[in-house]
Amino acid sequence: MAVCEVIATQTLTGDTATVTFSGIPATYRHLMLRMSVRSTQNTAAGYDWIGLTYNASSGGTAYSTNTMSGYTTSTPAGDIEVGQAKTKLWAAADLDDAAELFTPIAVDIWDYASGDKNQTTMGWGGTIDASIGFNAFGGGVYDSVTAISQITLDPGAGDFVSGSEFTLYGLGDADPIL
Amino acid sequence: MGALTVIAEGEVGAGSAANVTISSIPDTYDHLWMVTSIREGASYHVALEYRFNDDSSPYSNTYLHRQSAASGTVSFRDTSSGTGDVISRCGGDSLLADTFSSSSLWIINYAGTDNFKMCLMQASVPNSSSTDDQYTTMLSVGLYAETPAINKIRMQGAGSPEFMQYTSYVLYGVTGV
Repeated sequence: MAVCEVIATQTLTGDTATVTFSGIPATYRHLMLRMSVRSTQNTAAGYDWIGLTYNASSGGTAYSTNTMSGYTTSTPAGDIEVGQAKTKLWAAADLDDAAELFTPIAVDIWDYASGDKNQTTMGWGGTIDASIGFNAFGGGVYDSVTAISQITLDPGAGDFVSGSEFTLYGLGDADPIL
Repeated sequence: MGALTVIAEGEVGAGSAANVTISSIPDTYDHLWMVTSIREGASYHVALEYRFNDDSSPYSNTYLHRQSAASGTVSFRDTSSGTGDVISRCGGDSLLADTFSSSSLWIINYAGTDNFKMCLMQASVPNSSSTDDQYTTMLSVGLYAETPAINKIRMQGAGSPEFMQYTSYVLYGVTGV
């Protein structure tokens, strides 16, 4: 059995508020999510963030996010946000950017089905437009050991623009779990 | 069905190589993922340049970079007028012997024809020295502001130092459904 398999892919054909992967099987060791995204937010020299929640749990305070980021030539920053409703991922291009600009975000979720560990997220992404560069790496913790069966993504200020793409992968390991 | 397919792989043999060029990349995958283990022939580390489709423009890059305990982590940005490639980092022949830097390149949605091509690049250049500029770590995000699918990648060190023997690479095609 292959060690890396596609669980699901979504390519948006219209602007969409949220993207959900549901029915994620617990049979892999790790999950990887790769996306190419753009938000309907429209801010000069701006960008949007992506909220990530697990198992339809949005609205609580169980998420924390820590991020290391660089903005153009500013001194890099470190941020921590606790007691949040979502983990934040950076960064999505927005409508003031060239229409062809969709930004990459890579998300890794290790041991998502362990049952013994809180769910942690590691993410990295960035955007470059006519005047700024933004590069952010970080992650978060969701205070729950329940295996992840659903992932929901939504931009912080806008909707996902048509053409945004999302692919969820399952990674195996040496154990015969696949 | 597996999501990873090896498109190309190789290792520099006895002697050295000026660059690595992979041509005729099919457009049948969703993403490209290139994993490299590199030692080049000059200095401690130099820019690692990826050029697509033989185009010398337009490229932009933004970086998070640390190579000095004194100056901390640095963020900076190059516009398309400043670079002819998307840029990561690789180690050189002044590093501890037999030490090769590690780097990876993700090109998300490389075959779409409506989107610019954006890359996520990681590089670790470890060394046994703690002297400033004799090691480095870099996260960079690159933009190739063209819409045609990427069908060719050229990888080389800035200033064209040669890739040394045992430098290796694997290019994977990453499939969606």
